[in-house]
Amino acid sequence: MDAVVTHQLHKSYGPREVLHGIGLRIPTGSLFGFLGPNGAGKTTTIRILVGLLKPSQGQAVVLGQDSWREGTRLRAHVGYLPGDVRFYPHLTGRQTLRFLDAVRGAGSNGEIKRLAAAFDLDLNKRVRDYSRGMKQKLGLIQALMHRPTLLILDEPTVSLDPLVRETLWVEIRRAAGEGRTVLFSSHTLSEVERLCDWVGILRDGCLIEQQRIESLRIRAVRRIEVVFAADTGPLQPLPQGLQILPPSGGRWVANWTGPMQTLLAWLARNTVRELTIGPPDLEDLFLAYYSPESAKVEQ
Amino acid sequence: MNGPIIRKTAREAFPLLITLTLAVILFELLLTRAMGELSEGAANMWLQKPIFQRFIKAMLGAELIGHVTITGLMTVGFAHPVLYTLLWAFLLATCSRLIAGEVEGGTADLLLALPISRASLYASTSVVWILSGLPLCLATIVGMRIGVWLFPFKEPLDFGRLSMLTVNLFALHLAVGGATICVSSMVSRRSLAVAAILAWLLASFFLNFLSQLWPAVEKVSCLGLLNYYRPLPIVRTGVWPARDLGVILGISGVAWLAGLWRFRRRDIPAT
Repeated sequence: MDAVVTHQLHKSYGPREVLHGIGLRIPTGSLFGFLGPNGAGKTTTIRILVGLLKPSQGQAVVLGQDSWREGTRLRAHVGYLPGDVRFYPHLTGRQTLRFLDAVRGAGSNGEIKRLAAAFDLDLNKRVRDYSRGMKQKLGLIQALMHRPTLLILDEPTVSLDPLVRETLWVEIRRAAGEGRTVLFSSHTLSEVERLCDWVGILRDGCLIEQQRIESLRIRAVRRIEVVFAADTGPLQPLPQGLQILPPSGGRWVANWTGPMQTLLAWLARNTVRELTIGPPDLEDLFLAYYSPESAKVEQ
Repeated sequence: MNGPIIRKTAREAFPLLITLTLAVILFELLLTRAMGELSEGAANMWLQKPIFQRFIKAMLGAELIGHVTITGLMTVGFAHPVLYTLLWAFLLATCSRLIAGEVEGGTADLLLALPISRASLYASTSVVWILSGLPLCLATIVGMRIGVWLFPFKEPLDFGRLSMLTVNLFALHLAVGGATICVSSMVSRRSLAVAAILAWLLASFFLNFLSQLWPAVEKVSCLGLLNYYRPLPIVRTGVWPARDLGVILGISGVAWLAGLWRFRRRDIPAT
């Protein structure tokens, strides 16, 4: 069963439609990265999944339940970190977590202690005295403390230093390792690439891609440098997906898009003296998705 | 209903509730002292003036002249602008906090992502402002009792009749609170909710006065909430004003339910 399924999800504010029929599927137990530039509709989609917004059309089914109509029961199994998390400034970190835990009725004292130690957060300070990064840590703890089946994190790494980011990755991987599902939004590709096994790409309120990250890697461009033994250069015909750039000093440089098997089979027919194959560059692929030209082509 | 939500809301409301309850007691105490010093002759002299008669009628719901008793005079303590200011300050602060205040402050995201229904959240916070009306309204009688104990009158105050006014005042508390939480559930800015209710209350207050000056305004005075809040006839007759109480409680109930209906359906925008 999928942890999250949305059917033709639309959201409008007055005459302005911000989501245009999103059909999202997040497999149970996956680490799903939700990518998109600012204003693409990531936060709107997430807020519908949590039950903060009502879809204008369509349906969001989270853990088998309608996110709007059955939200109360559903949210017992969801941990949510808002994009811009805010707390009651007069409460201490500990009071905040105890209050949220008491409303949940979850009894997460042990987990709160463990997470506070892991994130190195002083829970005795008042929230008004917390820095932005400390507030973000508190937000992460409240999202994780009841060990939710589905963890929804809206841009969780904002204002976190690299060390805390590492701790977050550990916690997220731990959750996924236990079969729990993690959805996190970001506009930083490297984070998603490093952590996730699935990725969804949103642009202008449309879900333009939803793939295993491995499948995307196949489609990503690899930089290849080859020095052929013979002066004649590469054997013709070139495989589809190989784009050769002008050679310099006997060294041929090319961009490769496609399965590695095809490339290796073609290279095996050549007499190769030196070969360098770079890692797949998802950045180019994502920039292509985000580019206005790409949007025009799709339209 | 959710216990932790009720406790948190009560903790937040408590300092203001204590402060304003003490302020109401102090105000009623000072008013009792002032009324004790006002001789019957002086009172009648003031009440001869037509403008003052109208002012009193607008405030207390009946003319005082010819029936000046100390209990009658003390009804001013249930309809004085200072009392209204103290009671409504509490309601505006507390009832605008739940929805508009939480949305504006961004904490609604946390609260509404918890496994608690919006109806339960609405009811849990409403319990606090509804129950807070008890000490606030009873503070009027407490202040008068302390005042009479410190500065005794020549004739006894009829506390039985004055206690009926606290019930009437509590009904008014429910109506203003219900209307405030209703508006708060429709907007995302606390200042907007406060401004809207304040405008409605001021309009109601002035409508009441203007209707005594201009007969043309009298036709629309039924639109003002304070038109149905008339303490003096209650003290004079000892009869519950069923129609007036029905209207005030009706406004309260309809506004509260409309707020709940809206809150359950509304979007919570990102801050």
